Parts: sequence; structure tokens; C-alpha cells
Amino acid sequence: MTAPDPVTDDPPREADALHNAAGSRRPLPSIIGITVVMKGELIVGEDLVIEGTFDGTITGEGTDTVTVRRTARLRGNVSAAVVRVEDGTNLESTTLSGRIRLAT
Amino acid sequence: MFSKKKEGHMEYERSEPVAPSSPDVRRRKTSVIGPTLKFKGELSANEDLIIEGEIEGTIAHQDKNLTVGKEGRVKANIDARTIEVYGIVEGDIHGEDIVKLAKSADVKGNIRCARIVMEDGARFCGNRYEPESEGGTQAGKPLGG
Repeated sequence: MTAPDPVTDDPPREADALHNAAGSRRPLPSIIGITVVMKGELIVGEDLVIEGTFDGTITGEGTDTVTVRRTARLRGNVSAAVVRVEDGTNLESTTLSGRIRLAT
Repeated sequence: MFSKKKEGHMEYERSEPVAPSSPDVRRRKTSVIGPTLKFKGELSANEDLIIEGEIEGTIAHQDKNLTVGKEGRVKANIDARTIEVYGIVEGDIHGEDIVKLAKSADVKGNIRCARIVMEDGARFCGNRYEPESEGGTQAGKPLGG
């Protein structure tokens, strides 16, 4: 059984996420959706998927992966053990650090 | 979405969403702030949002549902259509439709909403206002103190 690919696999079902919010202790990956706009400083210790707009600093702690989808609009710095970037993503004003992987 | 199972015991029962069937429907419309995520700044969204991490700043949520999960810690004013709180909120809450406080909720701030549901055990320190009382006039007796 292969590990799920955060770029190509379907994201978690909404029902799963809601179930977790209601009390389950299973860790959730963080997902910044396409309509989300964030401006500030973010620190994360789990997998993070960015589909929306982020202006600021993203710091990944540990060995987790930050995935940047092509719909994302980033401005600032992204630092994580692994940064996955979808082909076609606009990174004009973004500095990435860590192991960078290009996902098609 | 909420149902009263028996006298004196409120149980949260989610009737939606059900598991989607088609690929298009399966596209998620919910953002998740996970339990290890800490964010300080401004956040706005136009989709459902679940907060299990820590957020400090401002949350402007347009006409959607916002859930502060059991692990969630929010230090911000919250504006959304429906707001469910299972965790900790320090700040004013404005729910266009309804605000629900679960028994694990701990809210310090004023709540303005048309309807409010509080489960036995929920902590609430602040005043509750009706939507018509935006001019600062408090409607009804404060629920917390």
C-alpha cells in the first residue's frame, strides 16, 4: 500500500473533517482552501496544503510537507522539510526553502 | 443538524454533508486549520472552515459555517453565518444565523446572533445581543458574567 500523494490524491472528504471537529483525535492535515485569504505568520507541525492566498511567512516544523497547489497565490517565505509545488504555480514573489519537489 | 435525544442531554448529530458520490461533488469545500497549526494575522474565507489549531488576529468569514473544534483556540472576533464552538474563543462572535456552544466550549466575549444553542456545561463569559441591537442596546438579560 503506497502512501497517499497530497498533490494528486483526492483531498479528505468533508464528512471526515467534520467528524474530526466533532471530537475524534485523529490528526487532520491543514488545508487552506481556494477562497481563503491569509496575511500573517503561520507555523505548522503537520502536512499543509495551500490552495488559496497567503501573504507572509510559513514555517513547517518537523518532517512534514507543505504542498502548494497551482491555484495558490503566495507572497513571502515558505520553509519546510519538503515543499511540493504543482506545475504552473505562480511563485513570483515567494521564497521557498527546504527540499523542493515539483509535482505535475 | 442538532437534535435533542433525551431530556437534559443534547447530542450533536450531523445530518450533512453525506459522502459525495460524483467526482465533482467530492471536491471539498471546507478548509481545515489543523491542531498543530498556529497563525497570527488576518484570515478571511468564503467557504466552510474548521479550526483545530490556534489563531490570533481577525477572522472575516463570509456567509459560511465556521467550527472551532475541541483543540481549537481562537483569539479573534469571529464573523460567520453559522458558528459552532467546541474549543476556546476569546473575542466577540457574530453569527448571522445561529451560534452553538458545545459542552466543551469556553467563550469569553460577546455573542450577537439570531439564535443561540448552549449545551449544558458550556462556559460563556460575556453578553448576548440580538441582531437588531447593533446600536449598542443590549437585548435581553446577559447570559454570562
